[in-house]
Amino acid sequence: MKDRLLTLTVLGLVFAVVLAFAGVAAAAGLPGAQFEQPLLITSVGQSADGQMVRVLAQRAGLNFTYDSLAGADAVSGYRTLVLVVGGSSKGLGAAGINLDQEEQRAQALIGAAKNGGVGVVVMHVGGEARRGDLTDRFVRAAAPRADYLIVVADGNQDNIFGQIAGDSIPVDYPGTVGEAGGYLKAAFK
Amino acid sequence: MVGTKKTALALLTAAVAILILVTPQFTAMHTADTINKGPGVTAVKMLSDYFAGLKNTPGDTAVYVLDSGKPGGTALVVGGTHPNEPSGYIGAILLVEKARPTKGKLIVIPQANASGFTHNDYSEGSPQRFALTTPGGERWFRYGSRATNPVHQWPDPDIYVHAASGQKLSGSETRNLNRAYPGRPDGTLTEQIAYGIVELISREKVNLAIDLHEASPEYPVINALVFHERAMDVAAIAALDLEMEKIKIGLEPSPKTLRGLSHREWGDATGAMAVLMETANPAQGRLRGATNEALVLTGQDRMYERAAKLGRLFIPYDKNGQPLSLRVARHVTATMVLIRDSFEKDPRQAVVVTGVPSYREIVTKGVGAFL
Amino acid sequence: MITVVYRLIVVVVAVLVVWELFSQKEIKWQANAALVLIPLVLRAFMLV
Repeated sequence: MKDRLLTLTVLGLVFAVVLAFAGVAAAAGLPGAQFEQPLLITSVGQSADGQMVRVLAQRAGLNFTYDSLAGADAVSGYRTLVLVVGGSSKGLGAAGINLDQEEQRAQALIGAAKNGGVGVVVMHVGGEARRGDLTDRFVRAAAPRADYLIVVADGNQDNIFGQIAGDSIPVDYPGTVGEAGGYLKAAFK
Repeated sequence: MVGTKKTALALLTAAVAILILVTPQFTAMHTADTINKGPGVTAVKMLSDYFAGLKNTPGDTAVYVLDSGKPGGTALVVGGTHPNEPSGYIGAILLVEKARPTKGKLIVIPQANASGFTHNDYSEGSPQRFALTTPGGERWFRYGSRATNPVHQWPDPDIYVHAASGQKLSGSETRNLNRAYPGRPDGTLTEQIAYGIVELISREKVNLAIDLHEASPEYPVINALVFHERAMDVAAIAALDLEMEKIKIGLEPSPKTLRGLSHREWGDATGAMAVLMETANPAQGRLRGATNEALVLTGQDRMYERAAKLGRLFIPYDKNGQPLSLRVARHVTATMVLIRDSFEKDPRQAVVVTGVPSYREIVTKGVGAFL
Repeated sequence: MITVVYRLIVVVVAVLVVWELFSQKEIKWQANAALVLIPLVLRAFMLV
């Protein structure tokens, strides 16, 4: 009886440890290059952060197109959709679209990607300074349906991205926008 | 208490005495700051050289040309569009006194709205001047107003209609240089200053035009770079390069619907890549306590510390404040990075500038050490 | 031209204020007039 109890306890502990690590692995970063090129990079929220990701993609030598206002019909020509989330009222005003329209565009893009077997990467590189009600609305619209999240660490102080990623979405937290470029490059075959 | 002819005379005498005391303080604001010609300066022009209508007006201002003599591009740095934003004009003065281009040309207008330096905004309690400790002793600089002096341009309309677009703003914005672009040769003094600067950009074939500003720490577009769409690439590259130097700068696109500002109109009216940069100046903010020379120089304010703890600011802020040296370091470093990155696509447009102290040097030694 | 007219008006008002200063029988109103005079003179000379 005592032996059986001891065995069950040890097995239970091992099981718990395995589960714990399994959970950590799922919530951890991307294990290796999983996404294919060419990629379509677009902004969700019309902040200028998309411009910085465009430069990162250029420096990484990726085969990409950047279109800050890409529509769902553009997705089919690509293997991966990269959404750079960051709200800017100036940017939305400059683009001539309102919040609802931008959120609908994001949903339509992701829908088209999912239907077409296109990978979805969501990035937030604006840090804490970019966070706020406007950006968070777009984060909640796009991030939960991502296949991979790249988030500059400073922008996750409240762990919103960790909570969204949970156990199912790989997420990496580079320290700077520049480092995010490395994660972006490493994600692609 | 009964008033008599004697008491009236005494009070009149007191009023005259006060006038005698305060008049020099106000007239002192009309004395130009000393700006030394640095080793890179090859010519000192006036804005009226680009638009004759400004000659002998309070709107005329010095334009410093630093020409390397080697072929290349042309960069323009403008400070003092708002004379109550000192990191802009002090940064520009530092460039005049230290920069040495080795390729291309650098043009600097340190005090774009010269009229604005001759007065202060009413009801703000701003100091009229501040001093920096330099190797040569104390150097004084004026702390002016956001707008053209109303004794130079009067009256304000009830509604200011932007001439080029018909956009309507509050009447006092008629004296705001950064709402007057592209300006008009036959407009108000402020519009004429704007016109002169746009003429300079066109005639000098400026490739990169940078406007240096400050704003209150509670303003969302702070520690930021606002860019015209033509400058999109260089702005994004510069932001990344600045981040590698641990200088975080936000990017904001210039709204096409807000007219009159340099980042919009310089880009639309000329072929230049136009950008505007902001640093944080607590002396301009609505939340500040005592407004004095110390606040201008240190940016330390207990009210802003409280606001930061309440999450009301858009920059990191603690008891160390936002010293002028830090703000000037940001502007000068970002300017150098923008100039360097602007020719990444076309090396023929290169402007190469040496002699300018680094961010770390300005922050640790203080901006006065280089003036 | 409008500025000349404006400055003339300021001078006229300043003169009226001085007249008031000497006409008032209570010192507090005399002091009031003396204070009002200061910015008027500064504006007449376009110093502020």
